[in-house]
Amino acid sequence: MEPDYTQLVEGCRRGDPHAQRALYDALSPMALGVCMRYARDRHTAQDLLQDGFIKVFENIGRLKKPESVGAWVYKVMVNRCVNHCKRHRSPLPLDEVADTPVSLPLDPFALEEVVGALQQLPPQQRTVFNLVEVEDYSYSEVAARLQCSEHTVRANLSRAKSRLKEILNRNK
Amino acid sequence: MNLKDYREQPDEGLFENIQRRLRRRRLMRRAGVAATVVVAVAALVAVRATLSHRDGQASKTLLVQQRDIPAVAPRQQEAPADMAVVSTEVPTGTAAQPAAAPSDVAAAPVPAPTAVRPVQQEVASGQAAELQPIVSSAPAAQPLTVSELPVIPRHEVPGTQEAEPVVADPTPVAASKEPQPEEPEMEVADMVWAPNVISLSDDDERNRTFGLSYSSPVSDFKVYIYNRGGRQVYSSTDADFRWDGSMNGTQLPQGAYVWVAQFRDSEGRAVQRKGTVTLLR
Repeated sequence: MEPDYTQLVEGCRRGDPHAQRALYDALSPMALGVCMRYARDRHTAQDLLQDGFIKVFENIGRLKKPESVGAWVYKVMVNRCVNHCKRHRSPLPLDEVADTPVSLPLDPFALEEVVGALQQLPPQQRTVFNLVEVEDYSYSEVAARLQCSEHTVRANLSRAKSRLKEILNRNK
Repeated sequence: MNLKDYREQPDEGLFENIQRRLRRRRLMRRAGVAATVVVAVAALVAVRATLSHRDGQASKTLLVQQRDIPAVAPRQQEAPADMAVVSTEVPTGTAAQPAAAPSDVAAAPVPAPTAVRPVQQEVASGQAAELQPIVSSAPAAQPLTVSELPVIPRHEVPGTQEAEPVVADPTPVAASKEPQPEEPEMEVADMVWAPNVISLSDDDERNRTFGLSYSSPVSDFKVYIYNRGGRQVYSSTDADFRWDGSMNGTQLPQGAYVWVAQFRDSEGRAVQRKGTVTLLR
């Protein structure tokens, strides 16, 4: 049964540790799922999860719609992960990447397999793939967030898909 | 397949970590405010200490000045030099400015000399300042007095006793500055002073050797000094050690050396401080 998020948010705003625990228990599996997609391993993902929840508990007073706390936490986690990637990315030489569309059917694979393959990608490719393919951001939005050109976004996405395909087929 | 549906259970104990970090961040925010106050006090005390080093010059200046102010009562002229708070640097070839006088002069029923211009001014660390003797009874332009600065004995480091009353109530500046999360908490009792350069050719013995000064008594003391290659060149368990830039009697080349001091402060807390010292020949 889903908890009463409005009540939990109110408790968190008062600093009630029981409410914080309940909110964490309800949303941490989803939050860790997000972090696992953006991080290179579970250890880093759990670090990001902790950072994200600290932001959540410190800023929960700003949340306007307590009933949408799940979506808000999701967004906080994505932002935390993207910022982490921006800090740790390495520049990708443009002349080495192809900007060609790659089809990547993921349905034959289990979610765990795809996430495991994602973690093997370089940080920038992983972030671009997540933002474009999972979060449905446009190229221009991703380019603005990552402070790079749209061409770089396309190139990174293309390369990410190729690498994913390669990794997934190798693991078959 | 929707990757958004991916869920994974976090490890046990993560929530406790989060709560611990939240508590620490709250404490750091409060401590950051307190540290800001401590730094302000320390800066003020440092100004006081710097200026008290110059009181020899100040006393000379004071004598010059006192000869120039015949209207000042004899009681002012007998003022001890140690009581002079702020000295006036007298550049070569310029006329002497009015020098500092003890605060109790303010209570003396003497007329204000015409040469005195009571002006309030801010004093920054390392900056020479001009301070007028308080001989006027006018309340509108009160110059800085001795009682407004923390009084410390000459050549002594400031201690906890002076700073604590100021630290005790940090609320007036609570919203002034957000501290960095990783900023270490600075306790007044933990303060260590160290020179950042020693010169083996200096005439003053204190400048030829390296040692530390502490804000309060220390125990279980250890100090290590390393060269740039990470090799230990000196160690001591004496808190009053003086390193003369040698290793086993051999003089070391000039350059930067790293020192690490570990000790327990007056409240029994383990403290580690480190820094660099440049050795010059």
